[in-house]
Amino acid sequence: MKDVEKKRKEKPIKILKNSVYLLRLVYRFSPMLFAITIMAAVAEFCFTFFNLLFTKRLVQEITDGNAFSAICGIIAVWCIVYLVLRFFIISIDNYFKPIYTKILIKGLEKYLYDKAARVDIECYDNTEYYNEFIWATNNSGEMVTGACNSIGAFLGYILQISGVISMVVIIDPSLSFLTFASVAVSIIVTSYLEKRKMEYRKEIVENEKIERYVERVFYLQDSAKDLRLTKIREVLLTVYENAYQKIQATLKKYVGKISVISFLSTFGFRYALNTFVVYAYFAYKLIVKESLDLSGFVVVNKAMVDLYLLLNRWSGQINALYRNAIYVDTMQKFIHYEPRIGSNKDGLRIDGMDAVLEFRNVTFTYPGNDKPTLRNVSFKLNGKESLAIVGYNGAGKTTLVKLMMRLYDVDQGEILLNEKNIKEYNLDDYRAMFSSVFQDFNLYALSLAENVKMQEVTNDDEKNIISALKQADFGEKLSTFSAGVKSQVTREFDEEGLLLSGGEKQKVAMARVFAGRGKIVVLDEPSAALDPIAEYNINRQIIDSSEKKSVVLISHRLTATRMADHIIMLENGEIIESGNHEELMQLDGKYAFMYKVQAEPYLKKSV
Amino acid sequence: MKKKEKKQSPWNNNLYVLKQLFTASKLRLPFEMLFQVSKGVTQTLIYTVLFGTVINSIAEGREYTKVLAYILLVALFTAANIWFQSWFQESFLPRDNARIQKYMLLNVYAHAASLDIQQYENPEFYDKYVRSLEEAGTRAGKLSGSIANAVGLLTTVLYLLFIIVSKEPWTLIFVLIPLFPGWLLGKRKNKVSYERYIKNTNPTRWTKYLNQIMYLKEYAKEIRITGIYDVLTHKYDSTMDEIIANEKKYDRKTTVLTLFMDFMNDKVIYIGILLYVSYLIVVKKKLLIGDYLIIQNAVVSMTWRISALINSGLDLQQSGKFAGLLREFMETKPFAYANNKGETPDLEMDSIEFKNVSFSYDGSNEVLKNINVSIKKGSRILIVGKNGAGKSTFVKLLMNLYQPTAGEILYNGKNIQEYDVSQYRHVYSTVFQDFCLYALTVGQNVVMDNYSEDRSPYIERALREADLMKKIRLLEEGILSNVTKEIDDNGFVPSGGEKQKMAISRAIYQASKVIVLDEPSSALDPLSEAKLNELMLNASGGKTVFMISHRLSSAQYVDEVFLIDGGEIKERGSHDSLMKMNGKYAEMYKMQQEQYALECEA
Repeated sequence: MKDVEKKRKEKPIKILKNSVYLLRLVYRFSPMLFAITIMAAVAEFCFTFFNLLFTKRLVQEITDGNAFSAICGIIAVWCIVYLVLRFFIISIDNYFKPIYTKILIKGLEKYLYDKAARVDIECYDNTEYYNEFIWATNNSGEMVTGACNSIGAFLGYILQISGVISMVVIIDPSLSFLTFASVAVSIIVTSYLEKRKMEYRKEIVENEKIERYVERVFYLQDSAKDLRLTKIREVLLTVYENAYQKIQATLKKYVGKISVISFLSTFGFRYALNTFVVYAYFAYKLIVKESLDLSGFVVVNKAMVDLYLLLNRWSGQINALYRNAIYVDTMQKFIHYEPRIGSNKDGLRIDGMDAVLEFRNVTFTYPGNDKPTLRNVSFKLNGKESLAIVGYNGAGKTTLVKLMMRLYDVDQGEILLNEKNIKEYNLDDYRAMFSSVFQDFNLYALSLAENVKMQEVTNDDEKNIISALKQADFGEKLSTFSAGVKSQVTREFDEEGLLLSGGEKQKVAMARVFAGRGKIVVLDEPSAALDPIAEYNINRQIIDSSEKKSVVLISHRLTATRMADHIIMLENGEIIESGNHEELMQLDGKYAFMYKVQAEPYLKKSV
Repeated sequence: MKKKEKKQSPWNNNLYVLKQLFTASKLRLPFEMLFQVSKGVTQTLIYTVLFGTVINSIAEGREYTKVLAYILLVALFTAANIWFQSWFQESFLPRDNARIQKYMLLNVYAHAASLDIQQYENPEFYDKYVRSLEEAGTRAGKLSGSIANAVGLLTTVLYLLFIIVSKEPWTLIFVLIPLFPGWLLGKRKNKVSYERYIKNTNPTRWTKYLNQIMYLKEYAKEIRITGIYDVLTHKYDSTMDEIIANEKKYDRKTTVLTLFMDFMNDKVIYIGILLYVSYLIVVKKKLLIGDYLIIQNAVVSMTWRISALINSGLDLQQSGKFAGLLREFMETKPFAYANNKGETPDLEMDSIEFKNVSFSYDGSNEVLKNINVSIKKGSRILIVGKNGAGKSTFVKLLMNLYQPTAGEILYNGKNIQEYDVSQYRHVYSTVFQDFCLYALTVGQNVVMDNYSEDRSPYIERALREADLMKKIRLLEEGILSNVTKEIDDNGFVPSGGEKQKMAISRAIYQASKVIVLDEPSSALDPLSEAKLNELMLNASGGKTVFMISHRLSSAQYVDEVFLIDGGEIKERGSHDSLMKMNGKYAEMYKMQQEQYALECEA
């Protein structure tokens, strides 16, 4: 309970702090946006204020029965002020704001991309962390510009509201009570409504998530087949229907209360208090008390309407600021996240010599798991040697190579490069030693050449890329592309883009290894979708390349791994057997058993 | 041609969406119109009529009690109106929006599912689909809003017109003069905005795509290890620069147009009225000060309402464009063969026959050429060939996911297009290379249909046979556990191998007589693979099996091998006969075998 109280007290401070933080970001990436936001607020204030002033003056002139020429003069002055202010406001809203907003988005998003690329991989494994910080940051550009607008509008409304109130108070001090009551009612009502709405949103959100999920399934190409071949459609529709019913039930529970409050506030506040009472009051003053201040009535009426609209918008902005504050928290945490695996810019540089990698008693547990995925693993990989890692699904093979590439750091033991702990090296240099293809590689909607080189491509690269594609058995297919390696991959942005089959995609990914300049090639299940001939050719190429580079290969196909200089067999995170193929066959252990299971069908026929 | 154009006019498109709106919610439009009318009338009554009358009464020196009574009367009327407005906006609208969204989306889903896979693979069509999905949920509600808004505006404008005419008809001139130029300017501005939207569509899609890559988990590894990050940020830079350049170009135009519109719609009238009415009061002494305020208020609110009315016309036109997207999608017909009223096929498969079947995506490059095969009940067939040879296309044709460009496919002696399409597809149990798991329960993922208690022993058996039950039993809720963390934070996230096993248990569960396996074992370790072969091929118990695999070791379990090369079945026969033939299959097989056989000799 105390906590809640404390939180409530901290809320305004937090909003203030976060707004300042946000404005600093805006100032950093688009200082002009910051400047024009403030200018726009001031201009809006002037506009409201002069409008009231002008109306008062004009009515006064008319009721006083002044000359027509004097009236024309006032109108002319007003006209000029109006044109200047409107010109200013319109140019900001329609021209400067959209442009500087885009400039802000560009600067900010690039800054955040850079951060995202440095966050430790383990943060991605933690669903909660990932959803909360990494994925939440994905809309930051729009969020921050929205927040910047909110802050600008918030300040602008405060200016305008105080202008309007002081105008009313100057005209008739006894009405000051009315204006302050308006402000109070507005704050109370909106915070009450917001709270109710938050409550029901909270109840609805889970179900909306389900609705959106179903929507996504219907929209993804991947599930299109299932929707036709199976009855999963009906299941999904039932799930959708249930979520819908729950949403309706929640709405039903809340909307009655909300609409009553909304009635009371609109009628009681906007009309009864701000209009009818004001009318009755002035009628009384002018008729019964025989005051002569008609222009005062006209201006107060106008001011009260303005006040209501301004307060409405202003309290809307308070809620927006509050929501932004929560978002800024998330973004701040993301921006200030210190990666555990730092880039170590001053670390040791990596020179041209051979790389000798060694695992010494390495143990590793994924964050949040209780059992280690790797236990006490030790082995050595000399330069230009090949190493195969085999084992059942889930034995820890992929984890081992992730540690090797320093996507994670070990818990116990150490990994050494040329006798020095890999943490001592410059991270970019260290990771650049590897050329890798993972099981779950991706292709990008870029040119084929860029998909192979995975770096900016210059014309000089073309030869190298074509030969890499040929090595990956993609030469035949490549010759059918009219744009060659410049062809766009996927049809995401190019009608003529390449649509590749699973095996072809894998070949393109394999070509990355042949085009890469890394000293150590890492392949995680590279041939799963390849046909036998392609597999055979590529295996040959990899073995050939190991004359120049070290190769680390994970594969279920034991014919691919048997040529390796060294094989380690993992089971439950431990190395249970190691040696070359002949040695392991002689040992007649688990490796030999697995090999025989795979070879049997072939051997049977050949006998 | 002319007829077609007429059909696709924005008004017809709006009408199309309106019809759907009426089916989804009959009361929405009338209530929303009433809401808008009530809003406009209340405001005019209070701020124009009541205000002016009170001031006139003051000037004329009426009795205070009479003025008070008049104010109270208007207050009562206002209360009734606000009561209705609050109810509509806060109570009716949110519930009705949910109702309409559901109705519209379900329609789109149903239609999408009736279309063909091939249409999905056409990027242009897919783009249309995605855009209509984005539109579908809210379009009908928005349309109702636009129409009601227009009706509300029109009613209020007429009411104001009545007020003005009864006071001083000449002032109407100030309303009418800027109308036409204002309309022209508005039209031009909308055109410019639309051009900007179109110009920015592609770059905006790019930034969205890049944004996804930067934050999605599956790209995290490559972003860290390779140089792709630089390529992507470079692309991002140039895309954003393009967007900014577009903004600069078009925003200059819209700013100038807005300035003119603002001046036309606001200032010209406002100043004109001020001058004219001041003249009438001060020089001619014709009007009271209250009349002046009434006229001024009425004219000002009439002008912005008229310009809003014009905008709402443009808005409706725009709405028609979006409605057109939705309509075009909803009126896309599945290819002719999507037979929904055909015969129900016999689930007992007797024979399947391909007769001169050819297929191409674009009409020129044939993926499959002149395929002629017949398959008898219970035969187990292995389909092999290079990547891209047409193996997957073959099975997609078989299941009527694609339509042959020439020739026909017969099931139990009848062209498959004569069968009811969804019934026909249920003849098959399939595991595809790119299968999906759903954020539903394990049971539902296996059954791929609604779960019921009495199905659970069969589900468990299927999972057991696919070697996954051990793992499922460890989960707290067993087969009722949710899969993935998408919706349930405690959901079961299977590994690559486990996913594949789950997909295989689907095929086992469906007791179909024909099983289609498209590279089901690529992510499995050797022991699991051997088990799968045993299960699907050896123990299939009289079922017909089509299996696509690169691992030729499966050949020992099958009756017949089809080797597809260059879109044709180049070789077919049992493993032994193909080996004897010593053709391409034998070459491929030997290549794989060689590596093992080496060992055998050693």
